[in-house]
Amino acid sequence: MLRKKYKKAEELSGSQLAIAFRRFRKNKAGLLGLILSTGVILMALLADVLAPYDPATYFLIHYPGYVPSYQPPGVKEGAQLFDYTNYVFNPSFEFPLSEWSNDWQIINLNTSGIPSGIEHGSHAARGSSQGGELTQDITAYKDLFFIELSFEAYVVGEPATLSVIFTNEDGKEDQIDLTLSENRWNSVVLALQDDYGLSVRKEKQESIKMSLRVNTGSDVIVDNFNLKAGEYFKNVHYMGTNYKSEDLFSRLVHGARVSLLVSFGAIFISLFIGLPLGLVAGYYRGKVDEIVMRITDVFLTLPFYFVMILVIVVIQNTRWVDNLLIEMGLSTQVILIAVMIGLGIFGWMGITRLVRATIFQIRESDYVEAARCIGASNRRIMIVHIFPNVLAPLIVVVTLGLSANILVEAGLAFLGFTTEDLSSWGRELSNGFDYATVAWWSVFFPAILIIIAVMSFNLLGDGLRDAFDPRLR
Amino acid sequence: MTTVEKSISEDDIKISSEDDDILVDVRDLTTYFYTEFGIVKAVEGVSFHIKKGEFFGLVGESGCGKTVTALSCLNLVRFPGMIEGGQVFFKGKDVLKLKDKDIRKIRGAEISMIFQDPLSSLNPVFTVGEQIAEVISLHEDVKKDVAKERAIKLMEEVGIPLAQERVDDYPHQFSGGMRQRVMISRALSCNPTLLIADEPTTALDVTIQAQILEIIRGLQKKFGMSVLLITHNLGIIAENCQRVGVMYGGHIVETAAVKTIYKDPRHPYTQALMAAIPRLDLSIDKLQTLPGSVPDLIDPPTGCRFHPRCSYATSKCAEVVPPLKIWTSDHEVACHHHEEINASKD
Ligand SMILES: Nc1ncnc2c1ncn2[C@@H]1O[C@H](COP(=O)(O)OP(=O)(O)O)[C@@H](O)[C@H]1O
Ligand code: SF4
Ligand SMILES: [Mg+2]
Repeated sequence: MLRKKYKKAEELSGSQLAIAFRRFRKNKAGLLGLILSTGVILMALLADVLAPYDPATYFLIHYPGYVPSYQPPGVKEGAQLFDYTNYVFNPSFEFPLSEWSNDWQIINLNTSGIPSGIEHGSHAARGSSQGGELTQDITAYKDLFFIELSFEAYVVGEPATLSVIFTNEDGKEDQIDLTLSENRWNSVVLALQDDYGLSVRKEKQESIKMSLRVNTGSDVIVDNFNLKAGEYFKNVHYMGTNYKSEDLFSRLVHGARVSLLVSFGAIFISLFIGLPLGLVAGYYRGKVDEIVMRITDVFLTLPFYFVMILVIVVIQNTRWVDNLLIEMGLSTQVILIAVMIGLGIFGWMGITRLVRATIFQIRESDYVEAARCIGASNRRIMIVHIFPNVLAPLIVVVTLGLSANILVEAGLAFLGFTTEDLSSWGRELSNGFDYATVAWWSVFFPAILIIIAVMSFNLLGDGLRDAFDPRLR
Repeated sequence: MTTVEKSISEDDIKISSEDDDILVDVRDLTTYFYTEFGIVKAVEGVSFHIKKGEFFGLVGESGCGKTVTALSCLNLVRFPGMIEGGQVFFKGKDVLKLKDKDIRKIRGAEISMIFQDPLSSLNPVFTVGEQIAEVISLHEDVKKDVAKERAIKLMEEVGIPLAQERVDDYPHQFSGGMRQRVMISRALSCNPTLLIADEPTTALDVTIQAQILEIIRGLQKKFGMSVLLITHNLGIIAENCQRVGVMYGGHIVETAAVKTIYKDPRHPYTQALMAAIPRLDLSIDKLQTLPGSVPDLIDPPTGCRFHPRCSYATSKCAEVVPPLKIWTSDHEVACHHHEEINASKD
């Protein structure tokens, strides 16, 4: 009995805020919402730390004949081939061997007196023992695993020795000498790995220089050059990859940033519009209230999604907005900013109505009457006596508005209203949608994240409402 | 003694009643509410006065306009209400003609008011100490800690135990009776000359009611202020007040010394009240003996508002509003026929 009384006293001590806090602590669902929503916010804040990969890295794209595709969640381990051939025979140059070294000349095979019979491309490179080297840098981003080198060489006149030399950044060399027969095409295939001829490899990021040197005899013509390096990789894709082989986890973590930034930004815009309107309507009543409420009603009757899409498109295509964003260095984010503004200018009505209704209710309350009786001015009553009592419901409606914004942002992103260069939950979801039957993870994880985020802010809002004023329910 | 002159010029707000003894003089006060259902004629032509140091009671059924009368005295009638006319002289000045800035100096400092529900009259987000100190710092140029010290003293004055500690508690941590004590100390913090207590005990337990009234009585004696006590309980009037005004349907029907009213009620409504009350501690609202219903103030009865329920009513009663006329010194009645009705007694 005494204990109960004590508990009751304990429960009632302190300010309204302290009581609300204690009441909130007992609300399991609200606490869960608090924890989860804090998690979502932390995820957005710490995206750079949390995400194992850059959200825009295409994994495994360098596999030979590789087509980017979704990968199931799990660990991927193996050799990742990096084909340097394309870099050597850069298609943008007509015959880019000339880029290698002045000592190796570009020749036209058809006019060089080389016996035909073996089909070759029309161009090759010719080097001689007088000249220097044909070199190519191989830069490995991870652990350089092996090197695959193949080419065909034609020796004009005497037999020749050709050296293939790999030099690492410390100056250490691996040299492989090749003896080539004269007056015919020699096919060379080298596969070097670790201790098998490749001792220069290191485990950290490094650059290895490959050079070809003609040591003795006549000129050597090199053609059909192929150079591939294998990097060892071990990627952990907690949530698999999306259809572009981008790490889904990293993308979703970074997507939290986009979702929350847009949602928070939008709610601030809503507050910026809705709070003053609600205060003004509640304070002045009569005509002013009437006008504000009519505007609110008009906004409420508009078909939300369609008008918002219209607004977004208009903002997107307004020149001065564009110019402003370019000036601010945000030009690529124009859609996101348009979505944020759109959400903001269609999300204030609830705030206005609540603030107005709360003020109406409070200004009729006896303590406002009492404050008038002690000679407090209207301004003082508004700021000191009414506004603090508006705060609690305001916090609740803002929290609930956040969850609504997250959902609508995701919906709009799903429809394509999002930036190309940033990942967002809605876009991942809509990307994954096409692959749902074969790659469940590409839908499951974005969806579950959206659900968790929306739910957590909802639970938090409900919990806060119950804590601040159980009667509001 | 009091001659209610209706010919006072509107501009002459300095003119008070001739009697220096009179603190508040309400004349012809009329307040309407413009609601969507129609105009609520809540208070019409109400006149009464309160002397210095007097305990004046205002009694009537709920909804008869007591609270609106009190609020009108402080010019606190709010949307959709409007004070349509009349004067409220306080220390010789017409409160209703004062600028907002000037009347705010009176509210809380010279005229204080306490309400029926002490919990809802206190702001839940501030401590009681802060709310008492608020009044002091609104009207006097004092430091915060000085105001707080005075708040503690005031709380002790109205008998709140452990005031030193409780000053930092929030309203919800107090019991109903203690809250009303807080409200009283808040109302008294600037030594007002008039305390308006609007049904200060209606929301409280019977045992606590007596304590609260005792505190008010004690403070009134100590500080010599006047009290306007609004109630619908005739017992409370009998125990506390020196004079009383009886209200019916937005009109004052009779004012007199309490003793006179019990001995010689002249208005048929007052008589019905007295006759129907075997015990004085019953509240009027519980009376079922009066035939007819409480008047609808949107569409009130013409003439005397009591005429649909009055057994003495004549055709004149339904046409002409009976003015509040002096009967004997300090006894006013608003009835066309009270002399004939009471002829047998007189
Ligand atoms: N804010 C308001 N709006 C409309 N009508 C009101 C308002 N306040 C009071 N009234 C009306 O004025 C009349 C007198 O009310 P009131 O003075 O509160 O009665 P009481 O004698 O119980 O204190 C009632 O009929 C009530 O309906
Ligand atoms: S004026 Fe007429 S109706 Fe009114 S109380 Fe007197 S007798 Fe009755
Ligand atoms: Mg009342």
